[in-house]
Formats: sequence, structure tokens, C-alpha cells
Amino acid sequence: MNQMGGLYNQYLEIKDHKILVSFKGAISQEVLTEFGTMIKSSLSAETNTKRIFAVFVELAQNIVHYSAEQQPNANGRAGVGIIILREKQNLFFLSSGNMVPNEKVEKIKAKCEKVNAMNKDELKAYYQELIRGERPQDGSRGAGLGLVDIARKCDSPIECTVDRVDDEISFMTLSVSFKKDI
Amino acid sequence: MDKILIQKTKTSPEIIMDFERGILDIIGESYPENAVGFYKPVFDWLNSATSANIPITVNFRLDYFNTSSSKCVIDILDILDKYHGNAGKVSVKWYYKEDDDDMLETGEEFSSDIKVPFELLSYS
Repeated sequence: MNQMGGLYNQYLEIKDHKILVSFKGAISQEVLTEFGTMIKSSLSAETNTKRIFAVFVELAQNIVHYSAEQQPNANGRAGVGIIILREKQNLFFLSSGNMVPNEKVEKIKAKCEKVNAMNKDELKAYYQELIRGERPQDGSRGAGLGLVDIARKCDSPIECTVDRVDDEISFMTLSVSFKKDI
Repeated sequence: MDKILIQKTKTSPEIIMDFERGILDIIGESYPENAVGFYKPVFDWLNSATSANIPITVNFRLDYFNTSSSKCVIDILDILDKYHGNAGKVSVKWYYKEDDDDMLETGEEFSSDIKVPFELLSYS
């Protein structure tokens, strides 16, 4: 009779988990810009807003450019992925997920482990080294700076989780957290 | 050469390139989809300005830029540094909002490896 059903359960679930942004779909520059604006305005009271916004942009642009599922629209590129911002107690959690070819998984995981092992000064030095170097030849647009920048701006290690889908592709999740103002 | 103006968008800064006065202004937020493509006119302008051997002032007044834009900012500074090394007249002004410690720190980091006269200036 009522095939669609009401949204009350979903409403409660999102409310209980304090989800600020949740999106799965084709992420284009336009979609990213709209969500970015939303994050800036909904967190405007937080001193960490700019950092959360900056990490959101890096994660979302990763999806736009590098998701193995591409769904270009009339305006240009769009990569399929999921991105979620939620708050829990005194932290904000920002996570993104998208398909990546299996052959790239180890490289990304290794890069996460490398930056996670660095303190803030080491990250700063590594960022300087990369930004002064040549652009890498692997199609990377920002000199491979994205993960280093994320590690510098967030308050946690970068958690990288990989779910193998089949022989060619895996789903990769990157999660970080930020401390709230108390 | 005429003054060239690139209007700002939600994800790219306003750019003013004034050849007569040798002034390049970059103002706003920078996270375009393709930073290298977006900054190409700036590199072209710098190329003409350095070839013509005119004094150059670059004003950065950025609120935010992503990592691919930061690589372009460094590339701009490297061109200016080279010009300065070849006796070209250059000055860089790096404006940051007075409470924006991250943007101040970025300016300090970006100027640490170059010899170009580089001023850090806060605004409210």
C-alpha cells in the first residue's frame, strides 16, 4: 500500500548519529562547492571550521578525480563516492569512500601509514619537500600533497579501510577526526 | 598591454594583472577543479612581465587554497625568485586575516626557501 514508507526512521537514525552531511553519488565540482558552503555555514561557530572545510575539499576532490567510478556530466568530471560528516561527543568525524583499482590500494595505504607516523614538524617538512618537487607522473594533480595536508589539518591519524570488491576493484574509506571547541 | 581581470567564482579567486603598473593581485578562495589550467593566464602574464624586465609586485590575499592551488602558488613564487636572482625587481605581499594563524604560517613557510622581498601583512 505504502511502498515508499515515511522517512521517520531515517530521520531518527540521522538525528541520533548527529549526521551533518551525508552524500552518496556523483560528486562534481558543483556538488562539492554546495556541500562545502553548507559545511562552512553550519559549523561557522567552530574555530576548526576552515580546517574541516579544507579536508572536506581534499577528500571530495579526490573522489572527483580519482574514483574508479566516473560519471561525467555536462559540466565536466564527476566521480562516484560517499562522504559523511558527523559529530560525536567532542569530535567531528569526516569520512569519504570510493572505488579504487586494486593495483593502487597498496600505494595509498603506504602513504597513509607514512604520514600517520610523522609528527607535525615532520609533516611540515615533508609538505615542503613535495611542494618544491616536480609534479609526479602518475596523473596526480597536486604533487601528492593531499594526504599530507589532511594529516596536518586533522586531529587524528588517517584511518584507511579497504573492502575488496573483486579482482579488479576495492572500496576504500578514509576517515579522520577533529576536536570540537569545548 | 591592457589590464586583465579574471572575475572570482565560488571556487576561484579574483585575479588582476596590470602590466602598466607591474601588479598582480590574487584575491579570494582557490580550489578550482583544475588549478593548473586556472592559473595558466597568470603564468603567461608573469612570462611576459619578466621578459619585458618590468618591476613586479604580487599581492596574495587568499582566504583559503587547496593543495593543487598551493603548488601553483609555489610555482609563481619560484618564477619570481628566479627573476629576482637575475636582478629583476620583485616584491611579494602576503596578506592574511589577523586571526588566521594558518594563513600566516603558510606565508612564513612559503617564503622560507626564497630570497624575494616578502612581506607578511595582516588585515582585519
